[in-house]
Amino acid sequence: MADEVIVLSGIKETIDALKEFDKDAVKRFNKVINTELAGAERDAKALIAGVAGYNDDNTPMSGWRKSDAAKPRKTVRGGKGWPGWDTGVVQSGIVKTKAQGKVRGDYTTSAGALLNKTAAGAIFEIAGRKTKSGFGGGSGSQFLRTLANRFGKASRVVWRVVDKDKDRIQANVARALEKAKADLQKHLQGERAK
Amino acid sequence: MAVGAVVARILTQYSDKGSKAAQKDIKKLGANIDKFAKRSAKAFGIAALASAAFAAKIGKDAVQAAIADQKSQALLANSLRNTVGASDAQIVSVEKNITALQKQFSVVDDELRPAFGRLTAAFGSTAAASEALQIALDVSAFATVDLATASDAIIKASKGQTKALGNLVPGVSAATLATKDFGKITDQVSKIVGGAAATRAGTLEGKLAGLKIAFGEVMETLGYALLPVLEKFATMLTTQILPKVEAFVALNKDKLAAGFAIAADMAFKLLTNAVAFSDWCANNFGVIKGIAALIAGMFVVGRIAAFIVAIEKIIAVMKILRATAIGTAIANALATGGVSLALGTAALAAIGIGAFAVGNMLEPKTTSTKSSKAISPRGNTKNRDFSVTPYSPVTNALSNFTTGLDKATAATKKSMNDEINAAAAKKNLERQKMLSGSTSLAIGQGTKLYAANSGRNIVVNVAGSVTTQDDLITAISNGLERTSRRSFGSGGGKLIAQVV
Repeated sequence: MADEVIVLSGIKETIDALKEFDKDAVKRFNKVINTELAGAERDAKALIAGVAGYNDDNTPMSGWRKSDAAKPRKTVRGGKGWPGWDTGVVQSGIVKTKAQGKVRGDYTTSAGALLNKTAAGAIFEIAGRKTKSGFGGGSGSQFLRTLANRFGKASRVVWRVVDKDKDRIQANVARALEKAKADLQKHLQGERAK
Repeated sequence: MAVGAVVARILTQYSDKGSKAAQKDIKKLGANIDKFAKRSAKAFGIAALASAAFAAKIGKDAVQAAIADQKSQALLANSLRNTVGASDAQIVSVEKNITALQKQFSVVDDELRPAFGRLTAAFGSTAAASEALQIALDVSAFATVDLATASDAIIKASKGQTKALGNLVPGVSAATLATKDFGKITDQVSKIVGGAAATRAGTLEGKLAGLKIAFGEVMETLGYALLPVLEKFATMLTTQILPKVEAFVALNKDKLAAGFAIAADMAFKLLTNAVAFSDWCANNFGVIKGIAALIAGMFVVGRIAAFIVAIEKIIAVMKILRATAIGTAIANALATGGVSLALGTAALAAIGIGAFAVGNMLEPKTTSTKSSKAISPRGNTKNRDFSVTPYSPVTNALSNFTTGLDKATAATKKSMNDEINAAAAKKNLERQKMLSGSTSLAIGQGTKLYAANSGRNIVVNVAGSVTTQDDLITAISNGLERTSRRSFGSGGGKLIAQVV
């Protein structure tokens, strides 16, 4: 994950104001964001597709069931049992969003993010990020080791994409925002001159 | 945003949702900063006050030091002029020399100057005095005596009196001292004590003394800066303020004297009346509460002028008190209510006298307005003169007040006591009459009464009761009949009661 964060300001205000003058400019800006987020989403889904090709049964590991357990153990995931791996479902669980979400302590919120929504996808994403492989020596430890050996250390899907492309995406969006602000300013000055 | 999903934020924006929280935090921070600022200001204010006080102390010390230094310099300069006819240039040179010695040997100039002055007078030149002063400094350090003692010993030695110097510097041989050759003696003394002053200045004690001297010099410098200001103030005080004060006093001395005399006289009268009044208070505490109510009412009304009217009214009220129905009421209350004389008097005085007098205060009679005008604190300019004549109504009224109160109280007390005694006697008679009027009922059954000595008679006495004796007897008879009927039925012999 990237340590530095570029905080954009005035997206909503700029877009709301720009709608009054130049809807095309708004569309151009939205297109930049959507394109960048869609590209990230596509990259993340491609990673899942790569996972699917690792085994004949299209799962990360041969023992990973393709469907949810019929009679899940009560001790696993709070009684939900181990989630099955369905590549299509996991891929469909990876989505882009422009929802603001909750406000953090630094008074920032999201303007664009990738979500890994399915349980199987989330496990694949972050397994081993907190618990190191080899700890305990049981099946869980072997699971983590195998995951790490085959697909690398956590994070493995959306965060991996974000870490890789975040700077570029932020720069592009920031540039688009500046352009939108400039367009707005131009329109405002034009209004003032009238 | 999905709950439980892994969220990888790509774009971050400043949230207007968080702006309120941010503003709140900033406001809180600002409040904390303000609080800190206030506390700091308070703390710094205290420090500033302390520093101001310290500065004032420093200023005072500095001026005093400068005055002392100036005096010391002037005395030395005068001495040098008188003894050796020193010029101003020589005096300045001597001062420089003294300043250098002060720094070198950590001896204050206030010691150096008198010593140098005496040595100059003794040896007749500033050059010789300078040499002698150097020796005296060494002797002083060597013998641990002050510079004045050392220089006096040297002066004596120069005149052939070598004992003092011999005592201070024991190493000087008796033979040398016996020669009374001042040159030889000082040579030997110098050999023994030479460098002692410098050595002492090099010690910790000497350095501390030097530090003290340096601080003193700073104070003197500061004081010299303040002196012109003070001199200017003193000049202004002498040339401008004091003459005007003198002129004012000369112009108004008669009025001032008369004013003081009248004021003293008034104070004496007031004191005399106050003593008389306090005596009366001690003797008539019960009435005081009524007076207190009156005075309280007076201040509520807020009319000082009415005080005089009120006092006159009090006297009048006290005089007529004994002749009014109030007196009888008081007596009855005291006799029958069981309250103390003091409380009864106070209570009725507070109500009767206070209400009466305050009521009159609210509508002062026109005949008393002269007093009001005379003592008005907001009176015309005539009353702002030094004369206190307008206050005489107060003293006269107070005097009349206490005299009248004494007489009226004595008369009232006598009257009240008579009334109390009469009322008490009357009530006692009534009680005795009531007790002697008891009726005895004999109890029986059917038509036959119980034996008279059976102890079953009922003594009926309505003393203290609200019912009449006949009614009580009837009630008892009926009660007996009802009780027997309920207990034994109508067939049995019912209980009866007959007056015997």
